[in-house]
Amino acid sequence: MNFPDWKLAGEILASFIALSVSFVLTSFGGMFNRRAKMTNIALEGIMITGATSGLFVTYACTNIVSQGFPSLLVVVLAVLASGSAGFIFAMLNAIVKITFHGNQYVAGIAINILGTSLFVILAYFLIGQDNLRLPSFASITAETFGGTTRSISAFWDAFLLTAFNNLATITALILIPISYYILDKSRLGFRLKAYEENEVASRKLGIPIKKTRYTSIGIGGFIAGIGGFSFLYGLKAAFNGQIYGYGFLALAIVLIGREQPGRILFTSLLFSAIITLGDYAVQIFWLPNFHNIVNGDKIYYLLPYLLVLIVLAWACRRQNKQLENVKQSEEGK
Amino acid sequence: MKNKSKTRDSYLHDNVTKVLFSDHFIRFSSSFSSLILGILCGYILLLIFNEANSGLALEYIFVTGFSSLANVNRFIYQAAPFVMTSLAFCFAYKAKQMNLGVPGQFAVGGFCAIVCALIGLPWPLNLLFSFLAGALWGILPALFKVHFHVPEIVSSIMFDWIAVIIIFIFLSNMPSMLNSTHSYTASIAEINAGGMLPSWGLNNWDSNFTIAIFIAILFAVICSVVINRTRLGYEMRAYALNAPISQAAGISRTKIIMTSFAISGGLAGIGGALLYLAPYSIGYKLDYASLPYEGIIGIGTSILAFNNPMSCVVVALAFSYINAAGNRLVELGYSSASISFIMGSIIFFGSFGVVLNRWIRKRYLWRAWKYMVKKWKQWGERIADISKGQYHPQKKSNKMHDAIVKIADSPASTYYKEEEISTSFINYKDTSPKKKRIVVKLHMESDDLEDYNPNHYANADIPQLRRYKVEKGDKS
Repeated sequence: MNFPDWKLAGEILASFIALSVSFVLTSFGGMFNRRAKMTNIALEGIMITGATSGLFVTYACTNIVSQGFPSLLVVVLAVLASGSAGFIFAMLNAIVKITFHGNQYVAGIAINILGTSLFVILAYFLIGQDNLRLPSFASITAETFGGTTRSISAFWDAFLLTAFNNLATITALILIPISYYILDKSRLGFRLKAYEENEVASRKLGIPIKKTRYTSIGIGGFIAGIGGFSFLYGLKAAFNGQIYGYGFLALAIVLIGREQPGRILFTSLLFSAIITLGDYAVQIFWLPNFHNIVNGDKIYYLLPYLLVLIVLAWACRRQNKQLENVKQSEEGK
Repeated sequence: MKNKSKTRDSYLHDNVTKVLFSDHFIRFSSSFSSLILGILCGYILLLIFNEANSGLALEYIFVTGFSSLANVNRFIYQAAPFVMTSLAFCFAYKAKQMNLGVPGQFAVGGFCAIVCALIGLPWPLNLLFSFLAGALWGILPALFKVHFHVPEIVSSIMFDWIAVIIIFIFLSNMPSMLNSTHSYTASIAEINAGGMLPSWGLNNWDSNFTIAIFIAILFAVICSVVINRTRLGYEMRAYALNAPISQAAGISRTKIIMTSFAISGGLAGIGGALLYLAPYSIGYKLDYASLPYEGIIGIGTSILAFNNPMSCVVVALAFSYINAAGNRLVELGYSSASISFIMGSIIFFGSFGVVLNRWIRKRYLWRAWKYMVKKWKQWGERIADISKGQYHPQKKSNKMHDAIVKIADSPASTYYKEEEISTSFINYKDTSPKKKRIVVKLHMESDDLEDYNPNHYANADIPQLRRYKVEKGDKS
């Protein structure tokens, strides 16, 4: 093994960016939902449906692309399709929560079941398989624009080919400042803040609360759906309708980041770094390998879930201390 | 809701309306309608993908479970794990704790039961150990909630995934527990037949039948007794109603959260044991990427049962009735996931079923019923008149007259006296159930309402009306 292994470093960085893009997009979607006071457990199902619709759109267009249809347009279509699928599934949850005042958690679990089963049914009837891979034209290289790929160095080849080959990365880069703007500067953001402070007062002052909540949940669902589609780019195996609980992790990231875009960005980068380290742990020499144990590399899969528990314990303790102080002072009076 | 409807229309207080608006009927109809709606959603999906076999598939879902004794037995003995997981969720929800960790506790309990049975322990000990293991796994999110105030919705899901991954690693390091292909656990019946659940002579009835369903029903009875008749259950319900006040009254928050989570985890663990120790199960599948199906379905089951332990049994039987049709759908050429799609849509409709039903009833059914009763009475009077020979056909329509009759008939006319209606100008507010303000102005002299122009009468003398506000229910 040559040291330093630049190719491996490039691959690790690239998969880190691919994973962090999907985490950032999904948790930003979760943030928009949470601003409308909806703890969206259906994020997992929204991710799966987004991935499913994007995958099937690209799969349906393979024949057209081989005849000379521009593949970039197909990818744009796939991103839009995944976003709209996420929008629809988020709306299903929003109807339960806002219009019917039902149990949002159970509805979220139901949507998760629906998402996985929809993928399996569609794959069975349309292709006759259990799993599906993204077609190679979905990743954007110089060849999609008519050029030829030149090799720069081992690191940059591995990094650029897999990190910035998808539209989702570019969408995320555009979307982070836009969501800052929406939440802090736009009318929707101010209305959401007013609603968060006091629902009755904001309604009396003429804010259409149902409309604002629906719009923010719809925006969140759209973003989270794109996040699900971007998950496919970081996946090495074929997609089989399972997303390994990453939607729940995104929900935990929203809670840890306390619904603020900067904190959410930081925590999602942290989580994706840990998950990618776990994925490449066998190839990194300074991490324990667990060779004695069968399937010992799966121990690293536990890390993000344990980290969520530890960080949430730390974060919620501080939040609730303030609350308890308030309660005590009220009791003193 | 109930009281409002009473005061609003006290004259329609017959037995049918009492039943229509009773809580029990609304709950039953909401669960039932969500079952039907979910199956309809699945049917639409089946229609889209394979139209030829869809009728047969619907027949399999609805009818075939009762077609023969073997089919009836199948859905009864497969219901036991569903009952236990739904009981688990229901027990924690009585103290307003959302235990979404049911799948993880189910997996841990099943794992513990399999290991104990393969070591050579008898079945009661297996059940006991699976209860303890599930309870231990259930306590963990409760600890995080008690000490660090972590929302249990997130932490319990995290413990689900941790459980699934840890069990995968443990089982793959125990080759003696696995079958030849290393994808499932070894069959318990071959290694230790005493570890399996006994059938107590029920296997003469059906070879797969065990006492599992009776154990599940016993636990349901115990649960309902504990929740409704003991001190712990009382404290749990009090904590669910108002946490700070119940704490002020001396109920320990720590005790309530820990015990409710422990018992619900134990129940889920026993559910796992009842599945994997039964003769029909093919063993625990080594999989780190998905949560156990029974655990997820159990959450929806208890929501459809409105967190009542005894009705959990009924709903779980209905779920396993639908679930038993899954293999037959595969035979017809449908995907194996189509039954889980149906389950998911049932749970989705169940999550807001009661609100949907109340809404429909309030908006449409209630008004339709009122209209029907009114027409019924009119026709009855008319028929009575005809039989007496006193029937007079209606005169040519006089819109003004009809409008006044309409106002006089409507329940809102209780706000005004009759003399007001007959005066030249009437300001009439119709307070409908949704409190929409509809102001109708009438003029006696104009025959046609359509000719009425408000500007024409703008400068006319409008007599001051004295409004008498009459209390509801008193018609003057």
